[in-house]
Amino acid sequence: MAEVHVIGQLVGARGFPQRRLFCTLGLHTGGVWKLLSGLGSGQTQVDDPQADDVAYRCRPLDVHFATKGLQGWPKLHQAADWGAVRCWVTVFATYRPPPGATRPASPATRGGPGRNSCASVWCGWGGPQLRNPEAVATGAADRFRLCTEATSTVHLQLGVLLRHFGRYRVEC
Amino acid sequence: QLCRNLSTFVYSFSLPQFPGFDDLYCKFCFVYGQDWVPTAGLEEGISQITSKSDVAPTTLVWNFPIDITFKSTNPSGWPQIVVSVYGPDFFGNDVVRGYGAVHVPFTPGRHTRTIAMFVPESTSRLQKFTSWFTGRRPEFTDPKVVAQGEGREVTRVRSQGFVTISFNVVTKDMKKLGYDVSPSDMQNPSLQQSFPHFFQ
Repeated sequence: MAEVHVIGQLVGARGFPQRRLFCTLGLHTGGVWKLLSGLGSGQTQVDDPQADDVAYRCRPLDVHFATKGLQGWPKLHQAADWGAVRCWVTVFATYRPPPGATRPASPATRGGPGRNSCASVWCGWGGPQLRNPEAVATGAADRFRLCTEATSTVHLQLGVLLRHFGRYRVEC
Repeated sequence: QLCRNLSTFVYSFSLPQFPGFDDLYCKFCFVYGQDWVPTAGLEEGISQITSKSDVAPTTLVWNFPIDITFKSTNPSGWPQIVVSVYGPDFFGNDVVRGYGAVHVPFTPGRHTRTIAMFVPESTSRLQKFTSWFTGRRPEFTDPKVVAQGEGREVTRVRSQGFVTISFNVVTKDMKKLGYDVSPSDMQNPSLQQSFPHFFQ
């Protein structure tokens, strides 16, 4: 089987309206992929930046996949959370750069002003939140019901190391 | 027989940018997976105390060389360098000014990495006051925690300052074992605007 290592760091995020942010993260792959080692999900620290509006995460990522096919290449999602207002921010950084390169920045989206946005503003909590992030990662059929808006930019510094792709005549 | 030698020569030339801080020194250590073995060089060290000068009023230069060689059979657990910066506070107590970590680059050649440094924060105002009063700020008992993914979710931190490290990396027998590493270093122009500190 071919192997993929994704090694790097979630560096930070900028452009959020609030400070003191953390985020949860999760990796999603297709059926033929197998996670051999490393953490597929987790949560970062809460940062209160002093200099600018970049919340630094310093969260290492070191995962090792084995695969029989290219379909369902790993995707990463991040969900940011601030204070009482929980909003989801999803990033799907599909790792398709050449080996050794980085996929640095991804725009993030969140649940936008929907029917219940008024209620969440008045209550001060319980903003729109994605119940099942995996459904968005897989491009689920009911995605057209979602209403989103762009929020911030997430900075990742990832290295991708491929093994035995040439043996299966995959050109990369 | 799977055997790979991977040599990493790191020569560190550090430029911390800590606003308002002076007389800082740094400690470094390497964190790596269980398949990794350091074969030569020091994996922990401590630098001199450096202060601001007329030549470089905004940066503190350590010029601290690190030279280390690792070998491994598996890229999982690729080494990370953990840097922690210390300096005196107003009362002369030695307090931590930042922790940070970064992976050693994959690709052979010269790489510059800028690490954002952060310190843990007290969770309550009372703790904040007592720690200021007694001069004992919150610290990590083991700085290696910043290179781990687990157990970080309960920490609150404050990010302040940056440390720049330049790496010279040499790898050996990577291609022989089926790994494809090309020395491509993509730079995203929009990223440079968003994160200017990482591209100085």
